[in-house]
Amino acid sequence: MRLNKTNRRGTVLKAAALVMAGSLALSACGQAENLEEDAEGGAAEESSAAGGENAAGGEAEIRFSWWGSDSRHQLNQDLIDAFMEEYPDITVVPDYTDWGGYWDKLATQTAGGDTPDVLMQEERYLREYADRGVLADLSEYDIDTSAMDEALVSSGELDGGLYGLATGVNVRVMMADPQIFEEAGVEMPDDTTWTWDDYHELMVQIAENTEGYGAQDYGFIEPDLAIWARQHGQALWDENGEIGVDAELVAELWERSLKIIEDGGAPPASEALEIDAGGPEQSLIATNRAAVARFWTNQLEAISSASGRDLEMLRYPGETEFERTGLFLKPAMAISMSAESEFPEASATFIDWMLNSEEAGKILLSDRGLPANEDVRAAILPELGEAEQYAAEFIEDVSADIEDAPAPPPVGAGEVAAILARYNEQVLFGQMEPLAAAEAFIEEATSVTG
Amino acid sequence: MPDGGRQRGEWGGRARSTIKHILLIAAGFAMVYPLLWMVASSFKPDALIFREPGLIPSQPTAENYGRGWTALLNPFSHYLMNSFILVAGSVIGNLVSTSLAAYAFARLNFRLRGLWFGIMLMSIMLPIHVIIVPQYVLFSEIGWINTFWPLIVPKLLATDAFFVFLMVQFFRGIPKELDEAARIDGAGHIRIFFQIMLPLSLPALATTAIFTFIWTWNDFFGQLIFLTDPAMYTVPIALRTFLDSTGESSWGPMFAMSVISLLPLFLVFLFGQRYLVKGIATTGIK
Repeated sequence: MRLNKTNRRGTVLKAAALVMAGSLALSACGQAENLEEDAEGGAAEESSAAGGENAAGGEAEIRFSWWGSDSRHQLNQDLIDAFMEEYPDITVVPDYTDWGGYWDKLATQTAGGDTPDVLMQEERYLREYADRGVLADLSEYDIDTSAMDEALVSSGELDGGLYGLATGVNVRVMMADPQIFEEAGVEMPDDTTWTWDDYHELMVQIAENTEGYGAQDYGFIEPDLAIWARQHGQALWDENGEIGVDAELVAELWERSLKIIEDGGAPPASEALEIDAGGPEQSLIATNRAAVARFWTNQLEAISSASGRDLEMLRYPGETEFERTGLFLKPAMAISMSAESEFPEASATFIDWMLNSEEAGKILLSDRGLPANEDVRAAILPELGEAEQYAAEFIEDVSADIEDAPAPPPVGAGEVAAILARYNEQVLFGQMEPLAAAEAFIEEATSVTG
Repeated sequence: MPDGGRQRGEWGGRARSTIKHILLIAAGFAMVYPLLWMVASSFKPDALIFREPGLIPSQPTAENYGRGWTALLNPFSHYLMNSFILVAGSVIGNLVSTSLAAYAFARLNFRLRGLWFGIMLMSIMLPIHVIIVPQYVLFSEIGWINTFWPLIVPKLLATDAFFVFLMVQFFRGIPKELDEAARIDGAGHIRIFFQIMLPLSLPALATTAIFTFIWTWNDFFGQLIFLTDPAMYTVPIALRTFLDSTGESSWGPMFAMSVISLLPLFLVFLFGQRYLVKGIATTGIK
């Protein structure tokens, strides 16, 4: 018995030693990794505790988060390097992923009290984060907004605080492939006067005369609904953050979509859904299968290069048809700052530099939309590619006719796009009548926002 | 070899087997087509990927591989290495911890064993989204964010209940008489575990290792949340950074790097397949 016990203890020790050895080997891996990585906040404290390299004690380490693809990651890395050269006592640690992963990650980090110091925001999520007290009020810091359009700055203002600064602007456009118009033997429309009926007839005619379709008319309809509502003197979101468009008007937009599909001007719903899932590069216009598609101005370059054609941009139809113009300047994205940031001053310095320094503008060019700072915009214009210069001119041109900025969307607006898309599908597949769907949409959108 | 059956029967059998094979090959091709399409697309110039969706590239080029390898801030080998470190840690962790836990469930009598077993099984049913925030808070407090620890340490604590369950089932299939014989010879639990159970349960261990490899290699969400510094990124996160839903995506390089990322999985599956079937289908004694 006793023998057995000692024996057992020996083996327990042996096993424990094994596990220890295993974890030691692992921690050796981890150590090596630790040496490689930019240490997290803890190490920054250590270095300042140990005197650090900077005697001024103004050393700061901030984390900057963004979404995007590899070209943007490279640009932002260059941007960070340039900034750190100018401000050697501020270290910026990058943290990036794609659009979908970004919001999952940000939500988790925020829930864990670990929001990045400086982060990219999007207008549909801005209020959600601002209302939770996660974002800092930028008006309290030394960030210069004097060279930006007043309407654009106000897009980040909520309840008297400034929680996000627009980095650039976009406008919703109809991109058109002149070559397909020509093949169809149809004149390009005059985009300052064309009506929605003109659009319908043109698209059907092009579809009849060519192998492809006239328009890619489905899917991402949130901005289109906003424009449609504004043209009729209404708004997708009114000043109080409630749905400001009535069901009849939403239904009419869907009826037009159904009609254009029925007349063959746009692909049937099932095909449309497949194409829509493929992203911009697989859209009809990018694969030379349609004459017109709706996108944001900053997508011109990507769509043009995918299609291999020189695309033209047209204003939306109906701008002079109803009560007023519907187009609006959309903040491409916003830069926000964490309210919990350990180094708020350094974060503010970084934001200010990104928005207002010509150097940053020259690195970023139009990656974050055309720069919101008008001096920077003018300075970089000659360096932009052909497509971007064209987009800049187009925005300049349209801006003259834009009457005002839409009210900022309420909390939960991020979900409304998906709800609208769902009803859009049900209508296009004939499972719901447009008016019933419109009423259900308004009800559901009202219940998730508030 | 035909077994000397009658001519007609042989013909009928051959025709039937030919039809069967044709159907199977067609179904197999349908299954593997997306994979073939990805490999083919990785050899096409970016602009042609969606304009010529066929399997044969009209202008075959290998430039996607060079571009993809160097497109991100680190060469792609860096991300492969990170994934390998993570996978190695996870495989070791799972092998050690789940076999020990399974032995306890299968062979030890302790209080409330059934309840604990039930709780363990329930943990399989929790979606990751439920536990990720508390986990994040916990690891953030310890200061482990942006290290591999949050992804490896739980494996060392037998949190992969699926594998615990698999091992328990396997251990239960090993005859009790073997343990009893060993116990009469004076062996304790540790010795029985190491000298009897483990050697007999190679198929289950191999299954655990292979599945852990595949699942860790493919896991995206956990790695996305816990690794914040690009230098720490693993293959799945690195691949996602090629994509931009709002602008231009680098499809070609992404497909090329996806093909490269699939090679380790393919090899593991190729060499491990016989164990997989054994580990899942057998229960100790034929």
